[in-house]
Amino acid sequence: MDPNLYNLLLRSFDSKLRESDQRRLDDGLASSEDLRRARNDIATLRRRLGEMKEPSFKPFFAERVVQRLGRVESSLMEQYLSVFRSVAIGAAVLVIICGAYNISRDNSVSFDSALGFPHQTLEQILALEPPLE
Amino acid sequence: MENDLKKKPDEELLQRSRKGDAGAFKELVRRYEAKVAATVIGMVGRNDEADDIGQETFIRFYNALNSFRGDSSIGTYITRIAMNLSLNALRRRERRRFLFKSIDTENELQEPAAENGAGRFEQSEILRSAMQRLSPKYRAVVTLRLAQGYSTEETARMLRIPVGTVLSRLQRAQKKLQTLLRAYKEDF
Repeated sequence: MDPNLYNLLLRSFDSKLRESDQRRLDDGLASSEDLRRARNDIATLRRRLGEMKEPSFKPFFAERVVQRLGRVESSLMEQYLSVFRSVAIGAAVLVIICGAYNISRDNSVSFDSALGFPHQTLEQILALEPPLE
Repeated sequence: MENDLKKKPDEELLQRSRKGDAGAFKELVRRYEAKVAATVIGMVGRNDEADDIGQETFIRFYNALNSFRGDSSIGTYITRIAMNLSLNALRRRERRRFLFKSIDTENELQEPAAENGAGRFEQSEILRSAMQRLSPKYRAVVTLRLAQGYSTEETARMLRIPVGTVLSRLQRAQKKLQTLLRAYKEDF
């Protein structure tokens, strides 16, 4: 069998051939018993592939997907929480260190000195007078 | 409740799934399970890995619900995810095969499993087994174009390859399948 004709035959199942190729194939089919048999074999193979029994997953597939989705979501939430926890602890430690540093610089234990506020009255601020030492 | 969902169109199930309705998403899984199974089992064979890939396909789809704009149908979109995951799994398998060559080669040459005690193979099983002997790139076009009936253009889009490549792969795959199936000439 002419391999070129056989390739044309295979291609003819999936795409429209050029007019000249189609004519060559038609002539080949008219004259070659082998090519006609090959056409029938390919057609049968393709039909059987199309008719293959639909495979399926094990029973309760949808339930397993939804269950797994729940597990994925809760593990994501746990990851978020663990990231949040470590960031929160780090921030708290930083605030405490800053507070302690401010208090040590100011030599007075008060909320204002922990936050680093200057000891100024509102009048002093408004009058733009230099702060009292 | 579940019966109500069965009558709802895909679009409504999508909307409800986006809002976190697990029942609606479960119904979508039921609707597209067969399509995904055909793709995944066609590609990796009938085994536990196939079930895992199937589940992963729907989890990826769930995570992409908000970005899914409906440019393609849900079926096409999910099939594309399933195909990509299957190809990834086959690549991993190939790497394993490279490491444990002797074991896997033995598996590859196994005959298809008998469907019943009398030893008569069911046609579908023979075909599926023959498909497993094709290399992944040929198996992918056979699964999408010939087994699932997508057009050559859709197959090309899903696999992100030119239509001409789909056609030439189909040609070679059919030749190879015919050679493999020659042993079962009476059935084919």
